[in-house]
Parts: sequence; C-alpha cells; structure tokens
Amino acid sequence: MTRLLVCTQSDWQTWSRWYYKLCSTQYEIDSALARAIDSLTAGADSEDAKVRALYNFVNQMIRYVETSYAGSGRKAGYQPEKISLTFQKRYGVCRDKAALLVGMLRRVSVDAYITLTNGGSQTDPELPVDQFNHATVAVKRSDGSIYYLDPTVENSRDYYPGSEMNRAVLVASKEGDDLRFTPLVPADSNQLKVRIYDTLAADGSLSGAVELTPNGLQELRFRSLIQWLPPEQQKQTMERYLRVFGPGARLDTITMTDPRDLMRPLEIQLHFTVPDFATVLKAKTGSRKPTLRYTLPKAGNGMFPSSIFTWASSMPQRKYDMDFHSTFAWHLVHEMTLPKGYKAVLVPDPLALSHARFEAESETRSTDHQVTNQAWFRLKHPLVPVAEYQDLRDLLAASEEIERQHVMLKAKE
Amino acid sequence: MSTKAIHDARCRMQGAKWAVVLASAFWFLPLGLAAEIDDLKKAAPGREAYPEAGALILLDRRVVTIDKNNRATTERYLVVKIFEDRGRDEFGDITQKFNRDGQVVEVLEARTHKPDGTMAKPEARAISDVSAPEVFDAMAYTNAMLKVVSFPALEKDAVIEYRVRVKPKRGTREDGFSGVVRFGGFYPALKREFELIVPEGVSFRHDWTREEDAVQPQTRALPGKRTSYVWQINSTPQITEEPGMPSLARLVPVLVYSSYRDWTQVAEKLKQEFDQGLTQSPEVKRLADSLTAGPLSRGPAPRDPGLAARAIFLYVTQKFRSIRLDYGDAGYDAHKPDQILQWKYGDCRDKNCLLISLLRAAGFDAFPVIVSRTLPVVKSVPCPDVFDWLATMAYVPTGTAGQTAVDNRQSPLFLDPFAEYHLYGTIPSDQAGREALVLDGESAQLSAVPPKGDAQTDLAITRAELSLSATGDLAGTVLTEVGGYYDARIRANWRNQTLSDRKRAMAQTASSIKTGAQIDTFWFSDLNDLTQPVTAGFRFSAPRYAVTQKGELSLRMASPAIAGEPLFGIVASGRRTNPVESRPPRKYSYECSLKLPSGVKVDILPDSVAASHEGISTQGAWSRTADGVRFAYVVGVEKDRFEMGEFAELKAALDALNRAQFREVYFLK
Repeated sequence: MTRLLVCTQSDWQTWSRWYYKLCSTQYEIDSALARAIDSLTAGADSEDAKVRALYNFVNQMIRYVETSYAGSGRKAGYQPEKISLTFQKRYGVCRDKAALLVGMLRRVSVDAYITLTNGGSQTDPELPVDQFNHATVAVKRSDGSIYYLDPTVENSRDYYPGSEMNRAVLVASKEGDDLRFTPLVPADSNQLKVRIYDTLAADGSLSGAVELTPNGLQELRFRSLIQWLPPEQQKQTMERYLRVFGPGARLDTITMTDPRDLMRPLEIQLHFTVPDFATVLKAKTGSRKPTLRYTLPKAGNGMFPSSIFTWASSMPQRKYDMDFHSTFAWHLVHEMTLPKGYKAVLVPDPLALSHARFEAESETRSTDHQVTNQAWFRLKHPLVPVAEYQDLRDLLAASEEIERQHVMLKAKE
Repeated sequence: MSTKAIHDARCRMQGAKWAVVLASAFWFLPLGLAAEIDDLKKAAPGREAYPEAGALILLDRRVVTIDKNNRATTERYLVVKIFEDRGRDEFGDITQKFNRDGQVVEVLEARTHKPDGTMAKPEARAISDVSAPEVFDAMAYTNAMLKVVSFPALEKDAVIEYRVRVKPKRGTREDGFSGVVRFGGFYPALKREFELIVPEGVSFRHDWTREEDAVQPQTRALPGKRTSYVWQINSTPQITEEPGMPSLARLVPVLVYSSYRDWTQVAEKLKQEFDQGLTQSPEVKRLADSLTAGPLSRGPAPRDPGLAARAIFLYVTQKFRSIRLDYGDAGYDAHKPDQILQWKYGDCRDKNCLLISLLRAAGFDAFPVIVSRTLPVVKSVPCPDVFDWLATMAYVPTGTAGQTAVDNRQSPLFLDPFAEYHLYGTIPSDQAGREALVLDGESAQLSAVPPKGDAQTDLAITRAELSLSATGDLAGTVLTEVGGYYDARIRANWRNQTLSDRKRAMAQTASSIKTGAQIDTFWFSDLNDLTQPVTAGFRFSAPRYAVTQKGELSLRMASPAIAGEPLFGIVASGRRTNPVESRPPRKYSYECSLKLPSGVKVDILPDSVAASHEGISTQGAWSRTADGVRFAYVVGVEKDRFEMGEFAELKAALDALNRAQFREVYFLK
C-alpha cells in the first residue's frame, strides 16, 4: 500500500531522546519493588540469570490489560505508568510492562532501555515518523551488542518471539539512537519436533505415542494453547490433532512438562490408539495372511505449523508477497513397529527439495520389523516473494504426493 | 456462608438499632461481609480440588429487592479465588451490563485480597463505563453499557471481592416483577445463592426449568414488612465449552420467578411497550404502497397478498443493517418506524416494528412474537424475562387473482427480519420449534414457533462428476443444491464475500482436494435472492491426484463440496462432557461418479458401510459402473439433541463414514 509520510523531525535520534525523556520520570523504585527485585534475583549469580528471573516475573505476573477496558482508553498514550504502581497493581499495557522490566533490570545493573517498535508491520526507515504501536526492552551487553526482550508476549520462553523478527526498533536513549532491526531467527529456532513411535497390529489397529517438542514460536503456540484451555479441552484439542492418523484416533493419556515453567522446554506426550488405521486386504485366494496398506500420517492439521502455511499458499497466483512474520520448521520422526510375520514391500519414495527460502525432505526406510519415516520442512525466511510463490506451491505439491504414497506390508514367506 | 456464620454476623449487629435497620434494607453490611469473606477464604479449597478450573467462585450471590412499585434493585456479590493465569485473565476485568437510560450502577466494593493478607483496590480510572461491544457501530443503542472493573494485584490464590448494585432510574410503577437466575456456568462455584426480597403479602410464582434441579427457598420475614426468599445451590460444577453444545441455560439449573398473573398479562405489558413504536405515518404508508404496488395493484396484474407480504419482508430484512442485540438488552421500547427508516439499521425490536408497521399499512394483520431461543419456558411461571428474541407473526390471506382476500388465521407466517441469510419461508434453526408468545392482544397463549417454514427442506445434495486420466490427474464438476439449514449456511459463509474473497475461499477447497489443485471455474446462484434456493458449483482439476507408486494406481475418492455437514467436526474428538445440539433434523447426501481412462479397471473397492442409531443414520457405498466407480454417502440427522449416553453411537456412525472415505480404491492398469 502506498503511504504518505510527513514529518518535521530531522532524525530518529530526536524521537529516541524524546521517548527516553518521557519515560525517565517513571522508573522510581519504592521499597516494595526493591524488595521484590532483591528476592527475585537472590539466587542469580550472573547477569543472564538475573535477566531471566526478572523477565519471567514481568512476563507472567503482570497481567496485560486491554487499553479499551482499563479505563475506557484512559491508558492510551505513550507514557508508561510509574513502575512501582505497575508492580503494585500487577497489570499494565505493553509500555507499562516494558518500563517495569527496564527499571528492574537497571536496579541489578543491567544496561536496559525501553524501545518502540511495531509488532504488526514494517516501519519505513527513510523518514523519522512515528509508526510504532508497541513497546519492548533492549539490553546492551558489555561488548556493546544489543538483544531484545518483549515481556508482553506472555508464556514466551524466548525473550523476543520469532514473530517480531526483522522489525524496526527504536531504542530510547539519552543520547538518541538510530532505527535498528531485530535479527532474523533460523527456522530451526521455531521448530516443532514430532516423534511418533507406535506398533501396528495385524488387524490394522495402531497404538503408540506422539512426543511433541516445540521451541521458539512453536513452543509459544503450544504453551498459549495449554494456558488458555482447561485440561479437558486440552485433551479434546490434542485428540483432534491425532486425526492425522485417521478418523477414530483416540487419545488415551497425555503428559507434559509444566507449561508455566519458562526455565524448562515444553514437552508433550500423547498416547493414542487408532482402531482401523491400516486397510486389511484379504488375499483373493488361498489361506495367505492379508496384506496391510496405509499412508503414514502427514503434517496436515493444526498440530503442525504448516497448516497455516498450506492454507495461505492455496491460491494459484498471488498479487502480493507472503509474509509469515517468522521462520519456522517441523521435523517428524516416525518409528513404526510392524506386526509379527510381516515385512514392508512398498514404502514411499524419498524426497529432497531445496530452495533459498524453503526446503522439504522425506525418507522412509524399512527394516525387518520396522518402518521409519523422517521428514523435515523449513521456511528459512519469513517472506516469500511473488516471484518465488510457484516454487513454493510446487514443493508443497511434491511433498504431498510423497505423503500420499503407501506403505504395503505382506506376510513373510 | 454457613448458617452459623449468618447467625454470628447478625448477632454482632444486634446492639445497634440503626445497624439492624440498615441490615434489613440490604443483606450486606461491611461487618457481616468481612466475617463472611474470611470464612469463605478459610474454607476455600485449593487448585488440586478443581483441576479443570482456572479459578473457583467461592460465592455468587444475587439479591433482588422489589419495592412497592415492583421496581427491582439488584445487588451482585461475587467472591472468586484465582488458581492460575486462565482464571486471572477471565476475572481480571469484571463487567456488569446495564441500560444507561433506565438504570444506575454503583460499584459497592471492588478489591483484591492478596495471599499475604493485605488488600488492593482498583485505581479510579480502572472503573469505567464502556459501550457494550455489540453496539460499537450503532449509536442509537449506546444506552447498552458495561461497567468494567479491572482488578489489581491478581496472582495465584488471590481472592477477588466484587459487589455491585444496579438500581432503576425511573420512578414509574411496574405491573409486576420477574426474573431468571442461572445457577451455573463455565467456572465451578462453591455456593450460588439468590435472594428475592418482596414486600410482605406480595405473591409470586417460581419454579425451575428442569425438575431435577428443584430446590425450595428458605423463607423469613424481614423488618420493614418484607419477606425474603433464598435459593441456594452448593458446589455447582464447571461446564466445559465444546462445539455443538446446547446453550448454557439448557445445561445448568435455572430458576424462574414472576409476579405476573398469567401469560396474558405478560403479553399485555410487552405489547404496550412495543406498541409505542408502532405508528402509521404517511411515510410508512407511502412506502408500503410502493413496495406492494405490483402484487396488490388493482390494475390488470393479479393481486397476490403473499407476494406483497414477501416484498415488505424482504425490504426490511435486506435493506436495514441488523444490530444483534438480544431482546431487552437496550430496553423494550422500539424506536418509531420513521426513525428506523432514517437510520437504516435496527435491533430486533426496531426491525420488527418497521416490518409490522409496513405490513399493517398494507392491510395485513401482523403482531410481534417473542421467542425464547436459549431457555426452556416454564409454563406455570409467566415470566417475560425468558424471552430473548422478537419476530413477527403475520396473517396473510391466501388470496388469488382478482379475489377478495380471505383472512386465513390457520396458517400464519412466522417472519424474522434478521433472517437475512435464510430463504424466504425458512425458520432460523435457533428459533424453530422454540416457545413463543404472540403479542396480538387476544388470547396470549404460549405457543411454539413452527418447526419448519413452508419452503423449508433441510437438505443438501452434492453431485460430483469426476474423471481420472491415465497419469492420475483428476478433474470434474461438483454441483450442490441446498435447502433450509444448508442454504442458510452457504449464504452466511459466502454472501458477503467479494469475488476475490470467494476465489481465495474456493482455492482452499481446491487445496483440500490436493495441494496444487485448482478451481477452474465456480458459480453461485444469487445469494441475495431469498426467494430461490441456493445452487452452487465448481469445476476443478487436480494434477497427479492419484497415487502412482511402483506401477500401481490408487486413490481416495475426493468429496469436495461447498456445503459441509458440521457434525463431522463436532465428533472429531471422542471426549465429550455435554450433549450435542444438532438442530434442525436434516439430510446430507453426496454422490460421486468417477470415470476411468481406458485400460484402467477397478481392482479393489473399500467395503460399504451403514450405521443406524436413534437419531442418526449414515451410509456409504461404493459400486462399479460401466466406466468406473460410484461412491455415495448419506448422513441423516433425525433429532435435535444427542444426550451424553448417545454420543458414542453418534460418533461411531459418523466415524464409520469418515473411515470409509479415508480408504483407497485400487486400480489395475
């Protein structure tokens, strides 16, 4: 979309200094907040540990309130609340949470700054015009490098979620700062690992477990889902995910690490049963055992990050680039134990397609008693230009053709 | 609060006469409340007792005090213990809906009891009035407001205390009083209590919507010649939100009370309020004449009252933006038709007011009819509050060309001018068969909305003609004809979409066949035409659809469609805690024929399936044809609701069909 930007400011530094000054009066720490900071960082023996402890606290313990509710928009504007008050009330909007974290970090001698950014769209750097709608935090290391934290994105174990990669950020400093950009995060940092280990019975039923180990944005997605749903609804949602095995797939049990614990990666384990997974084809003559045929579960529903991707890439042609705001990846490992007396006589073909911005691989192998499938998908850059859209469609179509291929099991001679 | 705690609290107040007087005026007093909340906090179980809940309602008490003019003042006292972030975010902002023109809301108490024993109160700007979200784009209804309190210092084991009073603004006398009280919700509660305080000697009726919930009130006399009735239910469970579940009011205990003598009095009261909006202005008359000029003209064209009524209905339904406020949310008085004509939008009161005015101006008898979409009506308690929707009952003569219209009261038309996605003559499924009261000023008997309209066939038929190439490419045409329920679903999903939106959505359909498939062309009948059922179709091609592997050829029979059957999604998980509502009974059928290339023959077909249980039947059948394969399946939904004990059979029937579709057809080349 064409935009007209008009400004009288000469540079971004002016904005940076202005916001620094606007916030500078809000960082006063009262005794209650001071005690809390001391308590939170008591066991932290490094700067990293202190940052982690304070980030986790502001991320999880300060409730984000919608500006429309918290006073009919009375909390609209730029200036954050006084941080001692935000701490006392335990709620705030993005700039309140960011300012509180900055104040707490400074208290433990971490060189922290409040920043302005735009979580939804890219900022035009050419003219210093206010295009910001969000506040986050920047920390300067002793070597001068900077990293970012967004305490508003609740349940994120990453300091800065993958969805805010490659965004313009203005660090509010006394001297003034230029517009910077957050770094691109590799696809494997926003990855869902799915490990399936199961056993197929001669009657076509399947039972086993799915282990989900997400990181980055994928971890945030699962943590948020779990956080928002009561346990029974979590189970219902996970059981719907299990339909990658076909209709009738049943969730038997679910176990997971504590989704509130931001110190530890999230791991989810789903134990399942599928009554009629494989098609049992009786031999036309003689008394031979039936043949079993099936397709391996494909990465096609909400469990996998690619579902939104597949949705977005359904148009035959596009007018605009596709912006997914983030890189992502999934990695599937499926180890299926075969029924006794059976061997695989047919497995899907291998696939290896690579492109500068995306890649997919799949390989299925069979041994005497097992069929193993490994598959990957990586979106290596959040933006897919129109010119490369058809390449993406071709890759997805080729992947699906492999996913639709069969495994066929026959009785051993 | 235990009986002993109530007793103790009262004893503490007995020493001061003024305190007794005040205590009689209002159930709550800080001293009593402080003791009560202490008791509640001490007795409150922890998260382990409620593993599903993000918070536990320790007390949900409502007190309605009726004055001598039958005006009600309501106090709500809510005490909630937070278990985790989900509960914190749910109860962090508590809202109270009110009508700014007729009511005043006072927040009597709002504070957080922190786990360390200290208190935190919201800052002044954290208590505010905002417009109800559903009216943000309709300034005529900004009297529908929310008082919002944002609670501070919320953390695990904090307890929210909230007390609010809603009192009437106007000094007018009401004919009676009534109300509906729900004792349950999406959060569990230790104690839910409702107290009704009425002047001594005032009689009223009360009952529960479900017999099994019947709890008798505790009654006591209060100073000031008043009587108190208290209903209490302890340990109400948490209701889990699930797709296709009935309304909450049909799942939890609901108490209904009313002082109205009978349904006639209820009808009179509501009719009176509604009638204030009904006027026969010159503008309305002119409009009615213009809308019915063709059908009712006295010229050579035949007079057709049915067409005239339809023209008026379609005009009001389609030309006026619908503001979705439940009946009563912004009051009961309808705006006058001339005003609605200017605004070009209206809520259910207003659009029905305009519709009735126009119908009457055209010479038809037409009356408002109030409908209870979500609550079962207790016939023995004539309570206006059970109704949440308004529609129109019109008596349209079945006159023929040139004849004088004959009043035909045996087949009135039920018209909902909000049914802008429904074929004319179709009744929206949330109203079909529900209890209703016609405000015609005559008998005012409870009746029911007809289960079906004249033109209603709740049926979807999709026919797909597909062909397979020797290289496995699939192509074909899919044609869907729908009626009733499915017709409304297609209109609601597609009508307001631009051509680009439709292309995008159809591309999704193509993707559901196979990534890389594309829709070559698609078409819809005129979705704005509410006089003709929807037909829609598309032609698609899916390169390399069939699996070709080591010289074999196989495929799953694709069954792409524009109209889907939502029950498949509802049974996607076998875990269920609520019944399934499946209104209306309906039939969904899909027929697909696949033409094979020369030299290719069917080797193995999947087994056909059929399942039939009470209220649901499914059937899927494969057969060989002269030039290929035919696959057909049918889902018959024969009842409105499947209880928990029936869910497994419902799922089994639909899963069997789903599994059958999941199977491959194998070919010989």
